[in-house]
Amino acid sequence: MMDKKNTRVYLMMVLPALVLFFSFHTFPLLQGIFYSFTDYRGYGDWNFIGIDNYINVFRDPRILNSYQFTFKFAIVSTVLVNIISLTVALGLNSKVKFHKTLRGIYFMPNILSILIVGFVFKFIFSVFIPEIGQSFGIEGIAKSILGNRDYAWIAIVIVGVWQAAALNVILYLSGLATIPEDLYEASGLDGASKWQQFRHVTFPLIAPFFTINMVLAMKNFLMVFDHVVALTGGGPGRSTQSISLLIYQDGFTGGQFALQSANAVVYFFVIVTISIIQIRFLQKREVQL
Amino acid sequence: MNKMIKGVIVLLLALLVLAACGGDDTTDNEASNGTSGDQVELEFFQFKSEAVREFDALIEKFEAENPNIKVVQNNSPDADTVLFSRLSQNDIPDVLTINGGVTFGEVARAGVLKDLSGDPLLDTVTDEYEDMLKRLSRTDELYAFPHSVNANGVIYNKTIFNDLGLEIPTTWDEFISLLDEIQAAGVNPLMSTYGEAWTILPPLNTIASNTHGMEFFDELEAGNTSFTDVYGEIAEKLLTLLPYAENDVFGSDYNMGNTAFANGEAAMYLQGVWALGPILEANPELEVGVFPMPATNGHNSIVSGVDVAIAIADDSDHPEEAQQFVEFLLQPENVEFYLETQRMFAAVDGAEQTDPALQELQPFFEVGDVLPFSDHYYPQGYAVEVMFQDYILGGSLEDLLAEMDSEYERLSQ
Repeated sequence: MMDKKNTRVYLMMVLPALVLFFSFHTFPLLQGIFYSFTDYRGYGDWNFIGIDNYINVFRDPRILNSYQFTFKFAIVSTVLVNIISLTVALGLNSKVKFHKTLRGIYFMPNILSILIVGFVFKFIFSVFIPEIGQSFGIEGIAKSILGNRDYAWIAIVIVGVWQAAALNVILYLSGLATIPEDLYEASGLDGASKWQQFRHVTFPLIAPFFTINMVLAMKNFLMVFDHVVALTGGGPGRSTQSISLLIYQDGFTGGQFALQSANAVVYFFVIVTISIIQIRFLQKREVQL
Repeated sequence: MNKMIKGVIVLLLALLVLAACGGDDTTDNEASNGTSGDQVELEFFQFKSEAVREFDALIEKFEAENPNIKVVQNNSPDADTVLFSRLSQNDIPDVLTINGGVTFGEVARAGVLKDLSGDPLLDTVTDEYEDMLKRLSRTDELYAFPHSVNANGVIYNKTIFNDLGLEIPTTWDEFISLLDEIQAAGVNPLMSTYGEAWTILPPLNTIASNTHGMEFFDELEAGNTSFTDVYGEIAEKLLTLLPYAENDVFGSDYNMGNTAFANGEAAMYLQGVWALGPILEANPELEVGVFPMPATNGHNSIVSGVDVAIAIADDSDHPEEAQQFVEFLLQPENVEFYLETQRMFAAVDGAEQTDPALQELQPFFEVGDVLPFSDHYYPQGYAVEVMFQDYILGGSLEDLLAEMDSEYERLSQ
């Protein structure tokens, strides 16, 4: 009797969320998959055209170009974010002065909107830094990096890393907090140096957090959108057009809704595959205490 | 069984909550102001961020004359995208302004706008622009009223021109020697902001339209010509202009260009008349004029298009009120009020642009010596500005022309 009542309560708690989730997430997703087999332009009439869109996804130079940029960006950013945030977390975990205040400050970028951060950085890149370059006669930075086809992506990496490191620092900090102090005492007595302690005690024990951070960062960077919109809008040329941005620009304003839906479906599987491979590979390295 | 019924009730309740969220605005409005039960609310989708204040003032005037109608202006920064995504949800604003470009053609063909052909209001509208809109939608029906029209040109700093004793050029060769002369005098001849790709379009359109005319598009559709045949000369001319811009061309965007030009950092600026507003806002003291860009050594026309066209949704809940509002917006005095700050030209009779900065263009409009924007006649999604940005950044001419042709083929299917 009691059990039956509980089930009903749980059901009532879950159902509204289920309805909301289905109507705003699952249904549009299914719609997108459906339209990827048509020649739908986002409005008006459409016909089924089979898998033509999927064939075109692999032949379209714009799409291949966006994959190139996105992966270059995501891999470099993921590596940098993890190096930087682990370093910062180690520093904040030690008993430096004001470490609580500093933790708050280092978390700041995470609560700022990427678009706003992006516009501020755009000003820095295209006005502030070139002005410094001009007044000190440094040729290399006298022109905006955002206008350079070969280097504009670096500016996006800088903003992406600056913003994303905040969350990863917090995750690493919580990981570091799980390591018992006596392990360090014991290894210290055995004569381990600081580096050996990090290499053989700290790093293996925070491996699960390393996995999470790598996967989350990679996934987020692969879906990069706001940074690019705020900084370059995909330019110059198509040099910083990310996959998400291409799907949005061509899909909605370019009248290629169906093709970009197919692109999105393909991309979905790419991200899932990468995440699974990452988890499999990294989990092997984790140790249990 | 009992459990089933309860489950269904919960589901219905959840749907009810959803329905309330997406509920009709008018009911919300009635509930909140509670004064008159039959006040009608119109959504006015307006794409120009620089004209929000002007339309707000006009709306205020309209609401004072028609107390039973409330107009809500909706301006979003990426209006085209918003409009297309609303189109895909079949949620069309009651009254909307659209730029007379590719977007208009697509929206008009989607069959969601009211057919305005034969409307008595059209008697006051200039025929050329009515035709331009019909050509964009490729229909015999007219789906929007032309409201105001723009023009491309060379915005020039009169002070610099006077100081250096320069004359307005009328041919391409004269234009190039003028650029040389300014550069020799140690002044930056051109302001270019190609970091923002669309700012390539004003000079590109002027050169393209004057070089190949509108027949090119008929020939292209018939398969008698290609971009490779025609655009080599156009691309090379555009590239010729690049070294005359001494600012950080690819590091600047439109706003930066306006501000820099307003501060006297260049003698000329290849833009549209729409840039005059922001320029003079940044520096009201600037002595500025506009002349038609001489794109060829033959006859050069002004390149002009419908800047604001006003359309009514075919399925508007309040068609009469919408029509009333559109009629109000097209009254000459209201168009003229709009033109005071917007520096465009009127598409309706009886409203004139009196800004001294624009007087050099006025004669072209009087005799109708105008050509449409070329980029309005490429297929939707044809990112000509991005292709040219790539080319100007150092791409090869062969790549550009090949991409232009293959993109045309892909998108015009």
